[in-house]
Amino acid sequence: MQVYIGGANNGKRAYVRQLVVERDVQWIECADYQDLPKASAQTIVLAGVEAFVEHHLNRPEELVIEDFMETLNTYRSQSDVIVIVTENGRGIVPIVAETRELRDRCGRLFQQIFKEATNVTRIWYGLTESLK
Amino acid sequence: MVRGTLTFISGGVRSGKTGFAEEWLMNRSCSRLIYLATGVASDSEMEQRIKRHQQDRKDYKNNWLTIEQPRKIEEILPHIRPGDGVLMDCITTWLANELYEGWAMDDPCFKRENCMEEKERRFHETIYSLLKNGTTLVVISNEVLDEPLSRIPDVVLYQQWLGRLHQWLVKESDYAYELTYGLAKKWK
Repeated sequence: MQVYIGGANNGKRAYVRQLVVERDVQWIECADYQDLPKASAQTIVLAGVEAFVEHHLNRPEELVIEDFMETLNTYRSQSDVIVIVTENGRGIVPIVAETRELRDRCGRLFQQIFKEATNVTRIWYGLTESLK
Repeated sequence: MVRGTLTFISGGVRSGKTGFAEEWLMNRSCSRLIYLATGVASDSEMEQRIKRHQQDRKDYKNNWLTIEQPRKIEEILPHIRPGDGVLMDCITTWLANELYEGWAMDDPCFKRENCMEEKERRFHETIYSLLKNGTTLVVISNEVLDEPLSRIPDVVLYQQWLGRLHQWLVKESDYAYELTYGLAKKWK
């Protein structure tokens, strides 16, 4: 499992798109789904994980993490998985409580994803830095 | 004419971007050093920030020529000579000045069709002209995209344009640095 992280509008998707251009790929934008879909392509790109967290803000966090990691592991059992997440924990503490909660939950979930990842790469305006 | 170089420098607020950029340029053999200031002293706080940067430049042994150009960077071209070193400080204020231009007349650029696209095109052309003219160009910007996107659509638009400009600058740059309180990470 490869993970790409970077701030908003830093060129993460553009970078991954050119990586997978020749492959049999299923591109899943978390923003488009409430629950993650079934997938079986050779390569699965799971993009914008923060949107999944946002869609499930009203459920207990443990269950949300469990659901996500379970789906992720199902994907991984049959496909190469690339995950794209957006850095959102390096700004001013948000005034709105819900945004704070989103940021905290993203951080905890991202830690789990990073732990299981084979490689983690940071994208900075199209350039890459290996973190793991 | 030897092509100039483009250096992109970004970092958090008060991370030492300007000081690093000034040193960087003073260590090159530029015929003149030009500080291209995009900030406008719109209030007393901004006035203080500008004064501090001005004082810093006075303290150097090298002379700096300051050009204040909040918008329309292309207008500096007639004043730049081959071999000059130019420090543009910074993209974030320039973008705000361009994107919200016309705000007071209730007709901001970002609401006009192709307005910002046209400004972006002129910006690209200006950079290419400077480089063709042998300018040692350093462009400063800020790291402000590592937090949740704003809920305010006008701000989201700003965030998108900023990311897009940064990606272009990094792609075109010969050198790219990220500053963390005086420490520079060389990305490129």
